[in-house]
Parts: sequence; structure tokens; C-alpha cells
Amino acid sequence: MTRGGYIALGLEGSANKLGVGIIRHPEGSPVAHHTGAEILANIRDTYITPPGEGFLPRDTARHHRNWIVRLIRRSLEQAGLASIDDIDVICFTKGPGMGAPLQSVVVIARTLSLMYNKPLVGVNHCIGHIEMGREITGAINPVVLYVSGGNTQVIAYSKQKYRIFGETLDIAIGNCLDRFARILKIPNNPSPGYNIELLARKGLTKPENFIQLPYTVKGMDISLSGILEHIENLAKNNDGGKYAPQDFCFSLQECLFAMLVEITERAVAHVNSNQVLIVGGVGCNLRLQEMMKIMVSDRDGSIHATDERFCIDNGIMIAHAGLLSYRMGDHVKDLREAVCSQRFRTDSVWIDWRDD
Amino acid sequence: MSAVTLSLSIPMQSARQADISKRVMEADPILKENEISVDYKTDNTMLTVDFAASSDRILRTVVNSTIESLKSVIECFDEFDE
Repeated sequence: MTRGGYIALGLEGSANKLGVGIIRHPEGSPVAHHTGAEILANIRDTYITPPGEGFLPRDTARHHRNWIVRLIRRSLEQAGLASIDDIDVICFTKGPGMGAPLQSVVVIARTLSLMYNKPLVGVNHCIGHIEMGREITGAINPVVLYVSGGNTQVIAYSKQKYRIFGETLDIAIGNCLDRFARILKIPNNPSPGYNIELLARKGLTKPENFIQLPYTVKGMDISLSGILEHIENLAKNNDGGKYAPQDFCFSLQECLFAMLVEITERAVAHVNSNQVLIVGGVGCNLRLQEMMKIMVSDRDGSIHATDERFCIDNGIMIAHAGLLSYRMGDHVKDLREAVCSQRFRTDSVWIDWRDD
Repeated sequence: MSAVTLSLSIPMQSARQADISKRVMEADPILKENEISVDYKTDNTMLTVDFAASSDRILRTVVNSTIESLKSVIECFDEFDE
């Protein structure tokens, strides 16, 4: 080893993004809130379907299998590592996510682990997002809003666990946006959510075209399927083309994000924190960040968000969270533990690398 | 249960590769144990996979997914075995 510290390889493929990352932690306590991590490589390849179509598990898994070995090779080159032997630990996404894509990645993780005799660490995808967000933004003990294609949760840390304060009762926010994009045939490249954001940024064609949607907050939780059905019906029977795509996108974003801000504010008040960290693919949305900022600054707090490199699923967050866990002495002892599970709750992970 | 069976013999480049493939593949739990059984064996450089399933439809599914995973393992060997 030419460099001190620890180097981890992270492999992520729980949905339509395949990510490979290599991270280095300098020596020092892993219990410190910020490890001073150095990103050696962070590469992603996204499986993009034609407008109007979603990504299916089998096709997504095939995409991941096609690319993963090449991405690992490229990440080693980018990191300036000669071989996988220079890596201390191999981390993979254990779940939650789609079964077939997760499986396509874990097979590679197991193979490399046996070939190079390297320890394996299975990482909870949500914990990956949270820990990477904390590392990048410097937020110490934030309320976390985790919003992506598969998850919508408001999370706060207490006693070695990231506890879920509120979540969606049906579909994830990103799923709601993606499915709406399919109705209007909004392109999936680079992502449907980003294209909705761009359309919404144009604003309403006229003020009276704001569409009232069934805003649904239930205590700490939200429900999104009713909103999706409502706007889908309107979009399908758009009488005489009354509404332009930007009217739909603007109204949908305003309603959904207002709900997210409301449940986040309730959690912030509850845990007496004034930091809000937004993670997950939908977290790159600048309008969401802006609305959250209005709420947080009313409470003299600060908002922490990252850009697409870290918000959207990536391998580096898996490497980072896996390395934290490895440095606390956790890793797979029997290869039969190196399996994925489609369901894996954020609050089922014991966070031993925090001492607060 | 074993209405249909199939055996695959896959020659690897070394006994070590055969052993690694067996251990990688065996780690996955078999989901419908009353409908499928998959058994991995190695003999020197040869990896043998014996399948038994309750119907040809199920057999085809499990053989397909096994081959897909094995292809990934072999691609790893090709790229990273030094």
C-alpha cells in the first residue's frame, strides 16, 4: 500500500443507475462526524428507457451486467490504482431495491472478494445516501429528507439508529414524478424528474392554469397515489388542450414539495434540530431545495444538499458507508450473508460509527 | 419434484476458478425449495451444475438466471484474474 488510510470499492445497482466508486479514508477515528474522505473515483451509467416507458427489473439487470466490469476497470484507472489488490474492502448494496438488478451486482462483489481475498460489506442503500450527504455537506446531526424513485422518508438520528419519522404510505415521490412523465411522454434522459423540473421552471402559461391537486398529509406521513391518479386523468383528458405540459409540471411540483416541506418541518420541530439534509435523486431538484430553504430559514436553520454526483444513486456512497461500517469491525463472515434483499428498512441498521 | 432435470458442465481455466464460481453461486438461497434444486460440484477445473425442477417452465427460468450470473463471474475472471 503506497497510501495510508483505508480504500473501499463501492458497487451500487439497486435501480436503473449502475454506480462504481472508490473512496479513501485517512487514518483517524471513524466515529468522527467527518472522516475527511477523499473521492478517488465516482462513475455512473444509467439505463435510460424511451419516453413513455419505465425500466423493468430484467432489462435493468441486463444493463448492469453489461457494464459493471468495464465500470470497475475505469474506476481503478481513474483512482490511479494498479489492481483490486490495492483496495481494502469491497462494499455492495444489500438493499432495498429491485431484486434482479441488486443480484447482478452482488455476484460481481462476491467474485472479486474471493479472487482477491478481500472482505465484503453489505450496505443499506438509504444509509449510504445519509452518510454521504453528511460527509459532503458537513451537516452534523440533520433531519434527513430522503426522496428518490423508490423511497420517501423523513429521518432523524437517535441512539445508534436512523429513525423514520414519516414516510410515504403508498408510492415514492420519484415514482410519482416518473409515472407522470410517462403520460406526457417527457423524455427519461437524463432523468424524467429533471425534465419535469425544467418544464416547471418555465412557470404557468397563465395564473388561472394552476391545477389544484389533492394535497395529502396524514400526520407525519404523506400519500401520493391520489395525486398521481388525479393529474393522470387531467392530462389524459386535457379538454381542448387547456393546460400546457409546464402547467402540469409546475402544479405537480408545488403540491408534492409543499407536502414534503410540511412533514420535514414537523420533524425538525420535534427533534429540536435546525439542520435539514436532502438526499436522494429528487433531492437535486432546485425548486425543492428552494422551498425547503424558506422553511428552514424561518427557523434560523441551515439546509444541506448535494449535486447530482452524490444525490443520484452512486457507488461512492456505498463505498463510504461500507467503509465506516468495516472500520467498526463489521463485514461479511460467511458468503451466505452476502445476499441482497428487496426490503431493508433504514431503521434496522445499527449505526455504531456515531457516538452521539 | 424432479420431473425434469438438467446437468451443465462448464470447463474453467483453473481449479481455483471452478472453486470460486461454485462458492459465489452457492451463496444465493434457492427461493422455491419444493420446486427447484440446484447442486454445484467441482472436479478439478470442471464446474458441474445439476438442476432438478417440478416443471420445464421453472427449469428454464432457473437455468437461464444461473447462466446469466455465471457469465458475470467468468467476465470477472477474464478481466481481473492476474
